[in-house]
Amino acid sequence: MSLRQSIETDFRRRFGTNRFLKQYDLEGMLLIAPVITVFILVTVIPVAYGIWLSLHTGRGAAELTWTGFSNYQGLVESQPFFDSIWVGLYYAVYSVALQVVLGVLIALALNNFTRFSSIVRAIIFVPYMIPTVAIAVVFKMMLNTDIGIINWLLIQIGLIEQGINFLGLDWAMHTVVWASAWKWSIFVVILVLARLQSIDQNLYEMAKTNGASTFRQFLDVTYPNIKSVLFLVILLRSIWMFNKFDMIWLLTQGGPLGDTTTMVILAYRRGFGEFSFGTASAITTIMFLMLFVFGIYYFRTFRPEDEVEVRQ
Amino acid sequence: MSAVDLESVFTFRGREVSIYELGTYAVIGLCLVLFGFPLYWMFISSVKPVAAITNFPPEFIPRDVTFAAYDRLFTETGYLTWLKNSIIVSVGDVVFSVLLATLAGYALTRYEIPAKKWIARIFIFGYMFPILTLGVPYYLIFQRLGMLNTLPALIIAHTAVILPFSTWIMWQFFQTVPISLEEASWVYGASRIRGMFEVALPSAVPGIVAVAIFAFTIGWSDFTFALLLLSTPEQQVLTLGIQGFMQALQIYWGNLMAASAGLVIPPLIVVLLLNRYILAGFTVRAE
Repeated sequence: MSLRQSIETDFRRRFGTNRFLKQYDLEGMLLIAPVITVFILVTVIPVAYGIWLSLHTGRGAAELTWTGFSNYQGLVESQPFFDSIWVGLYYAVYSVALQVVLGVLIALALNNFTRFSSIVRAIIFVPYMIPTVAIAVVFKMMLNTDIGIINWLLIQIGLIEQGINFLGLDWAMHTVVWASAWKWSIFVVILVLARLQSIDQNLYEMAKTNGASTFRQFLDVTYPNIKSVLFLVILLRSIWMFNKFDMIWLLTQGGPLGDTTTMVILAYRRGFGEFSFGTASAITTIMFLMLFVFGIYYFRTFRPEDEVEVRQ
Repeated sequence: MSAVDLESVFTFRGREVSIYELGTYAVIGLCLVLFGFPLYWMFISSVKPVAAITNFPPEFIPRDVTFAAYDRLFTETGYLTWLKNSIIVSVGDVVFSVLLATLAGYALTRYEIPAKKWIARIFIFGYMFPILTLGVPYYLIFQRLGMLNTLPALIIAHTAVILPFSTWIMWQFFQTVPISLEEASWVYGASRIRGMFEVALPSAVPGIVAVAIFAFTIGWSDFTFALLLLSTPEQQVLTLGIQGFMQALQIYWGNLMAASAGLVIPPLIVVLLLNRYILAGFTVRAE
């Protein structure tokens, strides 16, 4: 056994790893150090500080007093908190279902539509890329009770006699969900379309020669191929829709009467409306823990380290 | 089996069309209307005279075209200041994240680095963070540091959202750049740094562009962090300023549409010019 080998064996025994720090590894650590440092500063520390905050009460950074778990206790005893969980889940599930259905439908159509494909594909990116503020503003105008073009059209067709207040009771949640779908269905389209294009066309030929109908082809060829990407999309979109703030706040500010007050909206109201940052942090900490559970489930089925071929 | 045979064929304008084909055209047509119309409505409302905006029946093609709304925005509101701030923040986001993510991506694919598996997992996890989980602590931290109402605070906040996924994109991109090219350059006497800049970096340009687009989109579109961290009018960004118009007692729809048009045009240009790079960034995520 050479000296080097024996040192390596010794190192492995002590540190339980076969990685041996060589000089160029130090160089690599220097290159990655800035990212790790920034990540710790902008993410790890604020999240930890947020958890610490949730155990305090006070109206600003300088006047915090320790209260233990009383913020959490207060939440568990308050109806608005449970309402907000329910509203948040309702918004997320309704949104994701709508986005997946629309997204897959559009992706299938685009996959089947070969004319001007590059320009058509460029155009479908547009809703996803434009700022939510612009989308919310335009929808607010188009859905306006008095001057909105949609109410005007509905009246012209004869479906309704008077303008509907689309941001009022009964309608607000649907409006927010459909406006969200206008933008985020495109995310589903892009990922599903990319996968659809990688399906081997021979599979369809084979199905056809065996007499499979278009619907049968979808079930036997298309669906098994997009299943994994669908799972990924549903998981990511669920997390993002459950945490969505801007679209809801811009359209309804959580109203009317709390109909669209999700957990995020409630946290914002507690924190920046009433300046009880402890309660706000308690809500966001609970959201973080929920994400954590989701994350563990996510990493069970999707291994990011396989995507980047990490050597074990 | 489906109730209707999607293959059933009938004749349309002397051509044979199946229901499946017809469905495809219907979906594409509907998409063009549903996605295109709101944008069209925004742009034409921004060039209509004030009275014509609320006129019924509405003018689908504006009879008179005027740029008065834009003129009012530039002269009577803080629009130009907000625009300047939005540009500073977006450019800051892009420079910062491209620099850091490129270094990290190169290091992660070229060197033995401990706990790569955990770096991958934690970064992907960081990409899914609820924005307010970061936003509430940020407000208090920046309050302490006296950095509320400053653009650097906003750039730092955006970095938390942009950096994990940018690093991820660059990690995957550098993997597609064969290391043998660099090794060949070392054989010819190039240093490690020179090999990185002259061989590896040029091949990773599509990844860098994808990261830049991603960072720009987040920086330009962000509303939540701006709402939390900026409050004085002269430090606002476009998204926040436009939201302010909506809070006013009297909403001037013409101004609002003109302001939104200004917000939409830059991403629109990015999409039309650089869409293949966006797709590149997405395929990395999808595969």
